[in-house]
Amino acid sequence: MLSPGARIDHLNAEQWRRLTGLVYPLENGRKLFLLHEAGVPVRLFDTVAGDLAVPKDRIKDFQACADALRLQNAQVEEVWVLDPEAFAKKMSEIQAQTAFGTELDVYALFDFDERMKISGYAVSPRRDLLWRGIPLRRVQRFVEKMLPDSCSYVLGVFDGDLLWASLIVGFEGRKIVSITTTDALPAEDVKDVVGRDQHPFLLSVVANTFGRPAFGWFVEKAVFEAYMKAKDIDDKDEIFQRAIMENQATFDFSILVDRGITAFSPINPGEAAVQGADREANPRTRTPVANGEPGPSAY
Amino acid sequence: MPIKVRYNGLEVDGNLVPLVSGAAHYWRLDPEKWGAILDKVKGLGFHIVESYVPWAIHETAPGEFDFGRLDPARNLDRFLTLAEERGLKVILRPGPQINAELPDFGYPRRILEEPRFWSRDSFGGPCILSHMTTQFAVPSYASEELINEFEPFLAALSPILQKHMHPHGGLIALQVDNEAAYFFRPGTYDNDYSEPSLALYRHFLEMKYRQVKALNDAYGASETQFSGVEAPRKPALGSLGDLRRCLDWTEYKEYQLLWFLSKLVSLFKAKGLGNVPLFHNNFSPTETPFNLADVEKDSGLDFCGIDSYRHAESSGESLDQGRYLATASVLPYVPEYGAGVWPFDIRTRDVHDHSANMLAALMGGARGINFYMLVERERWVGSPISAGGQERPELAALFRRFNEFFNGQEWPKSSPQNAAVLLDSREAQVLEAACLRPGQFGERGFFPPELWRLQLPKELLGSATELAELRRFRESGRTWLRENSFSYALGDSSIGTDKLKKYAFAFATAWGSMDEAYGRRLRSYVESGGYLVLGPELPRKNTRFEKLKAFEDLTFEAGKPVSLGDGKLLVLPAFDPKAVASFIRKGRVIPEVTLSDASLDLALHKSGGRTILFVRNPNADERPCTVGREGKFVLKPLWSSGKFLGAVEEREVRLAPHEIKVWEVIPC
Repeated sequence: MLSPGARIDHLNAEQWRRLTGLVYPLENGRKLFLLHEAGVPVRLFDTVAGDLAVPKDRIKDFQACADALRLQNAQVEEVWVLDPEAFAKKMSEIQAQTAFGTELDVYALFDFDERMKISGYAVSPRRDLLWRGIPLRRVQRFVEKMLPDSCSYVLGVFDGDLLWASLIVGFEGRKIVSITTTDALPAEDVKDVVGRDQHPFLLSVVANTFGRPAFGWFVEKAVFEAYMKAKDIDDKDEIFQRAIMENQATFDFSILVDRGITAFSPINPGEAAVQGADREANPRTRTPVANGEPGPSAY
Repeated sequence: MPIKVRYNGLEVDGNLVPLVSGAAHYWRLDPEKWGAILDKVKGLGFHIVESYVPWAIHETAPGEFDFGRLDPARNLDRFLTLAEERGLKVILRPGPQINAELPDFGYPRRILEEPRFWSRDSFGGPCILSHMTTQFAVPSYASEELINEFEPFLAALSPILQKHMHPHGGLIALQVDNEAAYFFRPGTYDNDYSEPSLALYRHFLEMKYRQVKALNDAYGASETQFSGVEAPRKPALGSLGDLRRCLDWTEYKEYQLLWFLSKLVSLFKAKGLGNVPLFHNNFSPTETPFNLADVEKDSGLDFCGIDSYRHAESSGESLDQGRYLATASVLPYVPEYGAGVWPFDIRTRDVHDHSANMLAALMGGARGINFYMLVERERWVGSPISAGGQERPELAALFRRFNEFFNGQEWPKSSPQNAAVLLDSREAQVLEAACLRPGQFGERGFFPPELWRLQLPKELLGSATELAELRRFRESGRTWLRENSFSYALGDSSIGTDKLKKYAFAFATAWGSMDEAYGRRLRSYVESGGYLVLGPELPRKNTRFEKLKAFEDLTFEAGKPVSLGDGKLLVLPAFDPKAVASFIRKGRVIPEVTLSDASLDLALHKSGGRTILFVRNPNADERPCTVGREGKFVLKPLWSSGKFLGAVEEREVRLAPHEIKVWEVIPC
């Protein structure tokens, strides 16, 4: 999905700082590690408190052990149980299987999926990969199944009238070929985007500068922060949908045409995409034809 | 006249040129705008522009290179000419590895896809670097074949560089490779187990031991020849012999970097590129496998700097890098100092970060700095000049002010005035590194080192204390220096006698073993009048695990200073602030300037007879502070984070959160 040669430029430093400021703390939460040697615990280590008393019992079920430790240690965000030597050996094998030069998201998911299969390794709570706060697998499938060949995605996060952060992602052949912000747009055109209700201006400027926007998400800062910080994908869905219902976010869909489709929260046709249905096989999303069949707007 | 390397810069045609520069990547910018962009660089007050030269971009097919014939953005000759026309000097960095946030780190893809060039992890697998938008198997530094692949590119590039090389043009220095750091995977057993590396390791052992018998004696082994020695693939701490095998591998990791850089230096010189200073830039850490002093001494490079990317709240790390460079390097230089940042993996800098940070390394003692990137480009955010050549007003004003400050202080004539040096034990670093399990995967890894490190049994080395005590001793020493308002430098066991003798007193950490030559240097320092506090123990053994001779004639009693020549030595099992204060007082060392707030960092510099005081507020809140000094004085403000310096202050000063302020201390 993310083309290795993707252009990443015209990033507005203030806006980008706000975005990355939300993302990176997620990856550095407090963790508890239980190291074992073939099931025999040897070390219990809290990344804040340091060494703790090592459990005496041999581990029979690694996932159950991780879950139990998580319950007993509410102060940590994640518990890892692993045999260091076996883990390192398996990681080496996984990396040796890498198809070099592939897209970063493909690699990240491959690495994650293979890692989760390592014997003697368990993480609690179990959840799918959130890469930079993004449910990568869901986004990837959405792009594969739903996107037209050439389009762009626009994110606008508003703090009152201020466009607090923006993201414009260009797609070609269902690959991300550019990542940028409103700094790539003519300043004169963007100055009128004051407040979320002005988002159609932003979409039209993007349409004039990049490919036609397929979808855009315009959201209040507080909602966006809650969305990014949520570590559970279902929580993200709920935050997304509630914000639309409560008019704290607008979802624009100039090509995919049905309300509720989003890379981040596939409901209705989007959900079908996640389940594997093809865009053209779905009456809600397929391209309108000239024989009088109702177009997607009929839904 | 050849360019000479001086402590404060490069001497070019008899004039000292401070290394203050900014990066602009010509191939990523519109060639039509190169002239206007260089005008902006000059307009900010810079006299030197820097750029990488990317092998992957110039190579159009194996052995074929484009320098502007196909793509005007690759016309390096024109870019250099435009710089010279504007009176700008130039620093270039032709690799082979350049990172530059390129998906292939500047290597042609054909190189990265060739398994015989790959580095290998301890299980024999390739080492993967996941970076920006893709990933690749990292090459081995031990591969001579890979260096041979680079040779045609350097040969093709050389005529352009020679045309513009001093005295014919503005090119005044060349960087060799970039952040040679095992591609951010410097863990001892994480690599490199490729065949070329293992062969180099065995060569290293042969040079070290000469005779297989000597190696067998050290390891308790029964090897028949060096070519059969297996490299350790994880820590083995069961016996002294096992440990020595691991320590040799750890030491080899330093040697591999040194060997690689020296090979490249030879190649650069063979291509006629030795008429300007050649240098390298270390990745931020100073601990093994990074050995700045040895790289400068033995690789053929003229100097070696350390890169720095920090935020306002972490600018103390830049300060420490400056403190370290000031003692370790012949030209304390920061070849990459973050002006803006790459988009992923690190928080974007704002004006506050730049303002808080840009003086930190200089405060510590760095004498030169290259702002990377001065001109923004693809895969970068937050530079003072945009890719289109427009100034970003707030940032541009800050960088202009920086140059005015730098030139106003006659920096070439200045030097740090530190009363003390805090010395780290490289021997202990090597011991710690030998205890780290393999398994740091990728740039960020998964595991904190304190979790992944095995505990070294103190009995193995006959130590009375745990190795962890060394870290506590060092941090307590650092706290004491700050709380007592001493301006100090940082160093390690590699420090030379000439540098050591500049300090009135020194704190040195030691544990387990001590290099015999370092022990003699410490002794010589004390005998010539230095006051040395050493802890948590004076090792009984040298690095050959024989009896340490440097201090064998002395008898130590815990907490009691020992007189030695004109100086004194105090050995403490734990840092005792009262005992240290009493000891230092006996040496009649008092801080030149004091601060009422003990949390603030202080550094003094002398510049042409003037005393320059730097104070850094590491706190997130504003701090008032009283500056004390013997006799009457006023403080003339030279730098503050705001636009206005303020009036001449007598003693009461205020520092904004994370701010560095600078004054001239004027007696009256």
